[in-house]
Amino acid sequence: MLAVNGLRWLARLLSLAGAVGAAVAIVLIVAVILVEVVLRTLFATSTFMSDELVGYLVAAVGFLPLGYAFATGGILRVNLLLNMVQARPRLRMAIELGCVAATLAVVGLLVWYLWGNVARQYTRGYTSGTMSGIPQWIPTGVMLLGIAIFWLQVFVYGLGLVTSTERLLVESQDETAVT
Amino acid sequence: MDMYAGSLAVFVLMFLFLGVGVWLFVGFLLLSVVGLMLVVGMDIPRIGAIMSQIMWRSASAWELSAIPLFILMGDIIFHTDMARRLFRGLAPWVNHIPGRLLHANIGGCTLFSAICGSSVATTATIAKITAGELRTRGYDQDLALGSLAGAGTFGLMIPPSINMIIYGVLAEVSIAKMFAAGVIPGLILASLYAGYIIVRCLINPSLAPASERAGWPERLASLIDLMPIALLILIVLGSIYLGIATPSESAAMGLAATLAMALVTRQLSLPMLVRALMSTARTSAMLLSLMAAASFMSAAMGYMHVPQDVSMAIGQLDLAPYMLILILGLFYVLLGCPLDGISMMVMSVPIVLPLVVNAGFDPIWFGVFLIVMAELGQVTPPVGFNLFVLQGMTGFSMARLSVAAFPFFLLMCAAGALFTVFPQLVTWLPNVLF
Amino acid sequence: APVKWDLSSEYAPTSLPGRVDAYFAERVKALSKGELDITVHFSGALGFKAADHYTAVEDGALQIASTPFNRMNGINPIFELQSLPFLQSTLDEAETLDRLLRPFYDNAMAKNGQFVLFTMPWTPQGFWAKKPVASEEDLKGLRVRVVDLAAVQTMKAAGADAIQLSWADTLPAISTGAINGVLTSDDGGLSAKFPESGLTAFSPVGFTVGVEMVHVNREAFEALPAGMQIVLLTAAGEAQTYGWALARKTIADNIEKMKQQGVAISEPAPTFKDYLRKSAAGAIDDWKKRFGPQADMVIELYTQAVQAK
Ligand code: NA
Ligand code: NA
Repeated sequence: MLAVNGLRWLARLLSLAGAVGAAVAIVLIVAVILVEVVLRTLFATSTFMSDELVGYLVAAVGFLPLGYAFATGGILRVNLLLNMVQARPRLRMAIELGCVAATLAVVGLLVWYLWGNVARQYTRGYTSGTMSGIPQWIPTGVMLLGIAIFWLQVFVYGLGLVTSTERLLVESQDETAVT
Repeated sequence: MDMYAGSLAVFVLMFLFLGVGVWLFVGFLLLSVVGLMLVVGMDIPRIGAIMSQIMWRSASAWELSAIPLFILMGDIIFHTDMARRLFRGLAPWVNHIPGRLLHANIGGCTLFSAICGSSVATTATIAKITAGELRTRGYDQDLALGSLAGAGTFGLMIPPSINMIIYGVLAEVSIAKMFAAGVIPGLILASLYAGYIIVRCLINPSLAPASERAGWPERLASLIDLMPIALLILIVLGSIYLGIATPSESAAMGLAATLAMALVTRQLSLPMLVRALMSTARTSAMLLSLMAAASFMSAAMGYMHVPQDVSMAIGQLDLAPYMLILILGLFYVLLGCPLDGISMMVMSVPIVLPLVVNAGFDPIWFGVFLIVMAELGQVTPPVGFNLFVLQGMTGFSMARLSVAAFPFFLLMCAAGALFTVFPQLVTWLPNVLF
Repeated sequence: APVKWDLSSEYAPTSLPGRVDAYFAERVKALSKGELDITVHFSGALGFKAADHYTAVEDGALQIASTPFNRMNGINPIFELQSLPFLQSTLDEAETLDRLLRPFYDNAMAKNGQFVLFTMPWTPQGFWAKKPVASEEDLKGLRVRVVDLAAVQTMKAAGADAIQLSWADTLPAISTGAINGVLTSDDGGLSAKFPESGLTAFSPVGFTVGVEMVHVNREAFEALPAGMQIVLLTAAGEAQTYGWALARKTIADNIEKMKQQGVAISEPAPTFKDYLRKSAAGAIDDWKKRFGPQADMVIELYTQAVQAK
């Protein structure tokens, strides 16, 4: 039980850190673009890397907060069936565990092959080959980190379902207020 | 497995995976993995290599930066008095029109489309500003959200437009001409939507809450409330057309201007900014990861050769011009269900464009037709990004949102037919300008 | 059942490499009597960019791909050699260098499970601008869009304002005046309709000649029956001949097209070319550092081969 709690704590911490990282990335995107615009219009030059950096940062925004989005119910799903079997908790639990298992399998596959790419870029020293010369494993590593946090968060959620310490992540629909 | 049996199997699996309640982004991945295994017969290492590389590529596209930035901009407008002022300012002008403030969705999306080339960003920004306000004022939710889903697609039709740039490169037509060609069709679509809202509200006035008519003094006074948003649009439009920022940089310009305005009016606080950033990160991750997963799904369809084979099959039918457009329209509506507009375009245009040009249609005209098709795909399940945006914001189910958007889907189809019968609606402006 | 391969290309079917890729796929189909069927996915339709092809082919995600060498920067400096400024200014020079480099490429790529089937060129690169770019003076105030590192370094050294923009942003930037020049081939400018956007002068300075390779996954190749391997190599040889001839013909055709569209074509004076070549020295030194001590040896090999012609 202690181990489960520890793991849950770790997942929450990492998820939050991921979301904060994405928030920082959003600020950096604005900064990079504004610097590029100022350099081009006022100084007739360029950062020579704004598209590239913005691309890396967009990937960070897209994947770092995935665990946070999952834990706060922000990842979309079709709740039709889960709502239909509301009266049968066992069946509902079985379906939910099936969803979790499928998620862990396919996202695990993604983590594994992303890891392969990151490791190859690191060992062979691949760089962007542009003005920035950024080692490629850094931006791809950030995406990998985001997906891995997501995997962990789903794993902890599944574990919580089995040990019945976690509530189902099914928001009631069509009554929720617009926020 | 042959292509048709394979496509059918994948279609059935799609309903199974998504219906059971697997998170959408995971469902797309599962579907693509199973499809590549069953239909193409690939082994896991090859699938893993494709999945990881395609997802990285699509996730790291700088073009997507407009999405988080505009969502953040909408969030800040929402948290300041700019959104309320906008409605207060608009109300005296639209109170005598049936549907009243529902037209703010159409007008807002039309205006915003002029600074933003993405349908998702347009929908998200305007929805953030209008959806809550319309709800508190007692407007019909289905009509409000349906019109948002529909009008959000103007991001693609009214220049600037990412899809038009891609079509221009694909079809080797002038992008300036493409941009010009989208203006009149965009305005026609906006009028159709506004007309539809008027008709619905004439039949059932309870869809829009009653309110007093305003006279000219009130109207003139309201202009002050419209100033902040007008200034914002002016800054962003100006930065694009004066050559200061490129269309893809305009989101950062808009956001910076919004922040500056919030700061000047003393409405910007650190806690508010942090809250807006966290909520933007959450929404963006949901949308961007879905887009990355959807591009893996497009790749899987590409490896199955579905779009190419069907395009070629249509070519061999040797159809009369209008019949060809009708069949292509049906094909794109179906293709638009699982694919996004850009994938749909790059996969089919190399095969379809020569057919269409041979049948006597103008490539610029066909580009606009394809934009209508891409717009349709934005509001059809299971992969309809405008629906995802609204689902993420309101918590309403995909089914309810699809139904709410359906009348606007039909209006887009009608517009597509109109442009086919009267191609001058599309080609007149670019021919006059260039 | 026929063997099915997928070839990824970032370019449109009407572009130079697109036409060669299509020709290659046709020849493979014909020579193998339909037993080997290569589907060309143009315009990046599969979702891969050219920069992804090298790893995608290594991993077998693609059996085969069509990739410009300058999109493989950062992988191995040998691939950058062909896009160094003013090393190859004509198709003849490009062909000479291409022949010499094949063993170098094979050596580098064998370690990553792939090899080059054939190569094809674009047409030589020059300045597209509002007015002819014919002197050092003309470079002042030229806000020119460039793609790679070497071009950035050279343009800065020459006194022009180098601007980095994506291809999609380039056209809007021309019409709003954010840039007033683009460094690219005559063919690239014509297919993007530059003259319509106001860039009505082309100065063929021969900055470089872009070269694209079609490369194949070795395992996938070796899994083919012996006869089919020969078919593939034969079609590759035919496509190589076809592609280089097509580029030569295209240069001539494009001069006609540019004249029809009222484009001013200005041959650069030798002194201006010398000035530009000097401006490229920094970029070339930079590359030599990345490549290592043997860099001069490889360049010397090429210089001698060009002189021998
Ligand atoms: Na737009
Ligand atoms: Na759709």
